Amino acid sequence: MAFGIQLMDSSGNTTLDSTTVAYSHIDVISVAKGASGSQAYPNLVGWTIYVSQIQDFATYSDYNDIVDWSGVDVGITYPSGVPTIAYDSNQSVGNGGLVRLFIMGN
Amino acid sequence: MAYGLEIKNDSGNFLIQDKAPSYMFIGKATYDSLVSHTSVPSSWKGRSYYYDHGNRGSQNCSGSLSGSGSFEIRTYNGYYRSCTENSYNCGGLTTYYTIPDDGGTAIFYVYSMHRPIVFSAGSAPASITDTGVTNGEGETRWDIALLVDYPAGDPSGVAAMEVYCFAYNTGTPTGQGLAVFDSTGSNTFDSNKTILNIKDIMTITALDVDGQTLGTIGYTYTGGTEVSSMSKPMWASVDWARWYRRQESRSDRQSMYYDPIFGSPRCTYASSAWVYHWFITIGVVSGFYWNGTSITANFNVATKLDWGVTESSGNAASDTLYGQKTIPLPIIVPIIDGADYD
Repeated sequence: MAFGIQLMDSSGNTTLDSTTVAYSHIDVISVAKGASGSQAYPNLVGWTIYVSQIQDFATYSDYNDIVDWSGVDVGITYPSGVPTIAYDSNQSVGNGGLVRLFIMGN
Repeated sequence: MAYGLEIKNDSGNFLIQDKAPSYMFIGKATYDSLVSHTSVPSSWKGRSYYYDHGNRGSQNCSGSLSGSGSFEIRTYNGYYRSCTENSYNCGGLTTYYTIPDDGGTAIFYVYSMHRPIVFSAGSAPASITDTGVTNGEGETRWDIALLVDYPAGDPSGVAAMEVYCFAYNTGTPTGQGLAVFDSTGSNTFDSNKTILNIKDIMTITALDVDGQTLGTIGYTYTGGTEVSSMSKPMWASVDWARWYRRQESRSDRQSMYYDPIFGSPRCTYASSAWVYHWFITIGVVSGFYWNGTSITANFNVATKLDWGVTESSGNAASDTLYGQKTIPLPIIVPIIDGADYD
């Protein structure tokens, strides 16, 4: 490699190559049914944040059960450049209620 | 930073840090079993319906699998019969629906100290369960149920699915290399494990799935053409929409009433009453198949079926589809290159 950092395991396989990392994994927030809150990342001023909702599927026998599954409302703001995530599961969350907010950025 | 360790690349992205544990590749999940979605609940005498004429009540009707995936709904034992106006000829009511064997729930598993996240070629929706079983290293067995589809009648490819699993680092690093620990002493990075490297992010910005039609999916890639440069793009499992399909088939005009003299249901003709068999399918919307050139949407298979008999004053068969997003837009889907971990 021309520059950067490269780490390998004892077999010589590359486990980290700085030139290929496009997005950093920042955090994971588990949101239970009915929970809400916010999380600021003051050390990431200037970053763009992406939030993916990782949730388990559940099976249903009725359409009313389907519409009861609403994931989590997520808002991303940048007050003074500080990435801030607000989440609210005021609507029902499916499968007993646990959504993981997988937070990435660059 | 006040203290600790951060290593970033030339673009400022974290490579290693002591604050947030890194997700590490813990292996591909091992295939265990497949249950096809061809079964039908309440296969016999298990469903109730109402008849509106005469005394309201409920009776059983029957349904069963027959032939190659065909599902038969049939009224039960003559209680619910079709009637013709002139002959009062009470015949049976039978409707067939075909359930193709083209999808199911596949079980894979992986051992890890922490709950994994998974990536697959079809972004198959996943449900990950802590089985409570541990191996000799104290790692938990996590069962990964994937909703999968396959060519009708040929599930042979399911066992060969590649499911890439990542989790916080497990155990205590050993051997040589670089290890990082946070302030509580938990390992956050181990150079002997391959780090989760998200190479692109798919952002679904439009999804015409709410309401009675399933339309197109609008999406963008923040990484531009990165996906096209990957050898094996793999999407995180994200459960983002459901659909519900209800089919109704008119059988005949009919009416039933309870005759107190004979003490049994009687059959008569009513011009305004129709009996319908209905059948519903509930599915999970998945997608993101990469054909080497573009992304194609995929609507995954049914997860539940239900059926019954009803009455209506209408006389038209119907086939309705309802959709519902389960996550508000925009929907964010991380993408990795599976080849990095092969």
